[in-house]
Amino acid sequence: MDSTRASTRCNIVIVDDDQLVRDFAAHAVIFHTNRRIVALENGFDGWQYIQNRRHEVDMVIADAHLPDMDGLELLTLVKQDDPGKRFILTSSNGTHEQTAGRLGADAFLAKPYDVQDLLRIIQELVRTHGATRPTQATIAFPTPDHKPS
Amino acid sequence: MLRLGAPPTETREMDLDDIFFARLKLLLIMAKAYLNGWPMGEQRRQAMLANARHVESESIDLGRLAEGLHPGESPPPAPTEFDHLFYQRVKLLAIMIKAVAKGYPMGEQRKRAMQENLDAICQTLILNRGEADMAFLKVA
Repeated sequence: MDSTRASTRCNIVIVDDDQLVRDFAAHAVIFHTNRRIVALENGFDGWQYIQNRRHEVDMVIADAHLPDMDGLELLTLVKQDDPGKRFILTSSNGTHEQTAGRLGADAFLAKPYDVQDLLRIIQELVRTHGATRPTQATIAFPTPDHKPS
Repeated sequence: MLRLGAPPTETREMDLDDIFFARLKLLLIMAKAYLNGWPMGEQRRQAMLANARHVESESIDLGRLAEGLHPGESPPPAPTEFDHLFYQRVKLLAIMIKAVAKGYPMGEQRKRAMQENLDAICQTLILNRGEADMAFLKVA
């Protein structure tokens, strides 16, 4: 995991109405990137958050099936607003893959997906696109650090 | 566009088993990362704690539970089912990860015990799920 390097940090928003999947994805991404992420349950809230913090969000991971505003509509709006923002669409419907590509998604993650698939896609997008935001200071509570032997 | 996940003909919603095994694999990744000396910041510790709690609560040997409800009537376990010891090892790993996340002292003995438990779980998964799943053990 190289997410601790300053040049590869990014801020991520996860949108999925399935709480089990949303929480799992959030924990996996937090562990992988060692940063806070935002997890939301409907597309409209996701769009509002991204619009209000336009310069803070680097990557969006959203499911195609969302209440209020579905993932494909969210993808369209995000890419119209900022084509440089990375967007990963997840879906249990394989037919969404073609649509996602046409709308400019950077990656498609078909459900059910493995934790390795999720982390690999994030790492690949960060590696190839790089960070677009300046790094932010993170608050570190004093905890015992374990050095490599 | 990158594409990963289920093959196009096998897409479906993720069920409880998918979530459990995905979280178990994440737990294995967390354990390997800790034992390999990767830096553990506050965010990682919180994620470790949350994931370990989920796995610990979900690691239930339902086959053994059913056997207890109807003694003598349960069919023999299928070759791909995990035995009771496997679920106990998973629970133990979750407890170990929780200890790491909370900052409890982890000496060499505890690290060795975690490594052995981790190896036993991975070995069980390899034997039960075939070589197709071995790739997940290749942790970055």
